[in-house]
Amino acid sequence: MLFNSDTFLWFLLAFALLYFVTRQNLSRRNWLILVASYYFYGCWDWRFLFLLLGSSLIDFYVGLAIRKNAEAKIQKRLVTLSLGANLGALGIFKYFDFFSESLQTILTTLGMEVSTPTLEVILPVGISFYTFQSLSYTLDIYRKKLEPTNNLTAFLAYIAFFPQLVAGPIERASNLLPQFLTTRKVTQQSMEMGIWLIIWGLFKKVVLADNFGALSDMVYEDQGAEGAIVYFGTIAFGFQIYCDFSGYSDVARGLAYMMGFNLMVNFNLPYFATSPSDFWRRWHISLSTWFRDYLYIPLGGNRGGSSAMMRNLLITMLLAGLWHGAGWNFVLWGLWHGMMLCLFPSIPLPRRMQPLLGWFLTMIIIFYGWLLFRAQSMDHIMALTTSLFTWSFPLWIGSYILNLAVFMTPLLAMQIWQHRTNTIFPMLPHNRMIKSALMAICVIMTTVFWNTKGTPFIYFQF
Amino acid sequence: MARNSHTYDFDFKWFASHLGLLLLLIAMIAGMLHMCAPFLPAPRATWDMDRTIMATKADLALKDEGADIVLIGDSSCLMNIDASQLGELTGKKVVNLGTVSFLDMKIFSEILDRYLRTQTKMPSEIVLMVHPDFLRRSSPSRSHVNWIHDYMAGKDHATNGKSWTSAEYLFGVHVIKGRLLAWLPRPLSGAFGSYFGFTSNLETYMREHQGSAVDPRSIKASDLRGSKEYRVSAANLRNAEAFTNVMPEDVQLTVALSPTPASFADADLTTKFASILQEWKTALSADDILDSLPLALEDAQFANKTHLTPEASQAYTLELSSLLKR
Repeated sequence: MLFNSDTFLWFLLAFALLYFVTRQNLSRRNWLILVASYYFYGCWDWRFLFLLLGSSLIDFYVGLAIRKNAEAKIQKRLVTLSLGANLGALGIFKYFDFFSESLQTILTTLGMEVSTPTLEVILPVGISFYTFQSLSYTLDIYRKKLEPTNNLTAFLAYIAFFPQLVAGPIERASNLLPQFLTTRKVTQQSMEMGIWLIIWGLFKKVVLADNFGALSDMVYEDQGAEGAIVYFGTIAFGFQIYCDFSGYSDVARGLAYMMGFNLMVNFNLPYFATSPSDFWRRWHISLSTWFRDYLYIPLGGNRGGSSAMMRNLLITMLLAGLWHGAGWNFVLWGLWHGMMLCLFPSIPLPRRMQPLLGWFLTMIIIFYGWLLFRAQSMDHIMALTTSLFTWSFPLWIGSYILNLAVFMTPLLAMQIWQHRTNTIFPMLPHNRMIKSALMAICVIMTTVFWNTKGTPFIYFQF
Repeated sequence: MARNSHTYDFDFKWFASHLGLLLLLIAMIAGMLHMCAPFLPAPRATWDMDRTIMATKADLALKDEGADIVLIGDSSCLMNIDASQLGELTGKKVVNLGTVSFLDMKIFSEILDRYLRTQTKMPSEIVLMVHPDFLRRSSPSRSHVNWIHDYMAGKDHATNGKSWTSAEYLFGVHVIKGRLLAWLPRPLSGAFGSYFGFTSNLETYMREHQGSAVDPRSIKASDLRGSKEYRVSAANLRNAEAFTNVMPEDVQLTVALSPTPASFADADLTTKFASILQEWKTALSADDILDSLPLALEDAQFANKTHLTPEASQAYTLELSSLLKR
């Protein structure tokens, strides 16, 4: 079920009514969230509900068992079980065929005719998100940063919470789980922020991302695209993926606000970043902090000298790339970012020009990264990269630039406003009429581009 | 006692007044769109390929082209014949009013009627070319028919009709799409996007080629899909009369069938198509049939089951020209 579909609107209406009816009882409301979330996920494929449930139950009981057993050795075994179960599921469903096929390619290249097995199973939607969310729970208990809960309903609801189940933000148990266990507070401000985030998030997805997507597809679906259009196609994709993913996060956060929850900020004007490390503090924050806390720092972080730090960065970013998808282009994308995180600080930039030059160089790095991310194969990456150095224009480049400009204008206007006011909600202090007029325009424009069946979010495939 | 789920630090009156204001503003914007619509540019919501083709042909029909030969029909007529090439080969002025196969004979006759009423000089010949698949079809696509009807009448088009229960109509979305954003070229998808670019480029191409277009797709023979059943549907036989009614008396009507891929041709195809052509000719009271055009061509010459590749359409146009030179 997609946020940007008619079905979801009906689902939400029914959910809101029941949510209102159960307002006097925390336990009932958690049950309602749980059932609604499982229904939401089951609409996609009910068979994978068992995977979601299984993964959640393992982590719930592992969490309790870690608390019960004080012995470090047993605790280690238990956390290994949780890691094995979660990463095992991820490995089977997401990576098995990729590694198997890659092995076969390598062996064939070496002259060995071997047929490696493939499972050919479909990828459960959102598996990378909920397994990481679930893992953070057991890891935090193991590291004594969190107390396990005895409340199974609340825990299952925390893992399956439908606003953020399939594409994040990847919430830490320490932030979200306690919100299921205590009386939630809905304020005037949280209602306002919730409504605005839902409207703006849907606007970003339906009006902006889908139109940027049609533009980027023109370039990336055409194997013969070359020259200037590759630059513009990459810009279109960069804006598509941003509007698509941050639009989803906004709707998720908005829904949560209206339900009395507070989810973490997942995007903070990433295209205003002035260095690659700044970018990763602003882009998919819930994932980058996850990798920072559970991989980069345990690997040693920036302790142990610059070579150790570089190694840790490269390992972290390579795995972050692989997290996105089972493909060599994602591995390359991760490595590219890892390399740039290592190299960028050593680029000498004149102090006065630092912000502007830093931003410009960062954008080149980020957008070339998007080329690696969007390309369909290594050959395609080679062809697109080579074509960046040719200079030709298709006849329709004018229409292309016009479309880019039209859809970038509202986004940039809002982002500059957000940047200047240093808040995601720059309109909130303004009077009711201005706020409502802005929302009304967004609602109408979303209706203009609304597709009743919805177009899938890019990050659903991860 | 069960613990309260939430505390609400706002009153519902505040929430209702906020929501009410938002709805009021949406209603005001929608009302303004409805009221201002007559003062805005004429509706032309060419947001995709089909609508661009239909609008371009409806506009072309309003031009006093003075063509000697008028081609009309479904998308096989549009894509398989290059009207400008045909004009050069025959030494006659040719215009292609072929549209899409989602329409029916009634709409073809309305487009033709629109064209003929605009002309100061009548054509000498009208060639009706459709694919055998079109002849089998019993009903057109309602959304396409409604769209072109509204377009030709200069009316705003709302997908689900002008009903206040339709959100599109209620919010004035159709006015935004048709009048305010109509100037924005829309990207075409797939091979059409790579070849033509945007809707505006497709339109320019058709104008430069006397109404013709090409299908740039390439397809493996094994991926060709469709049926081998060929016949004239009762609906087409009925609607043929509408077409006959708009034909001027002294203009020759010639009917032809577009070719089908060889893998969709059974051994009795020639006999079958000959009888279909004859039945079709009778229904339309046509003067002539182009029965020496190829009925089936190699699969490799097709972009899909009904459209030839650009190269094959050039060869096909050449064959057609030799028949129309007479």
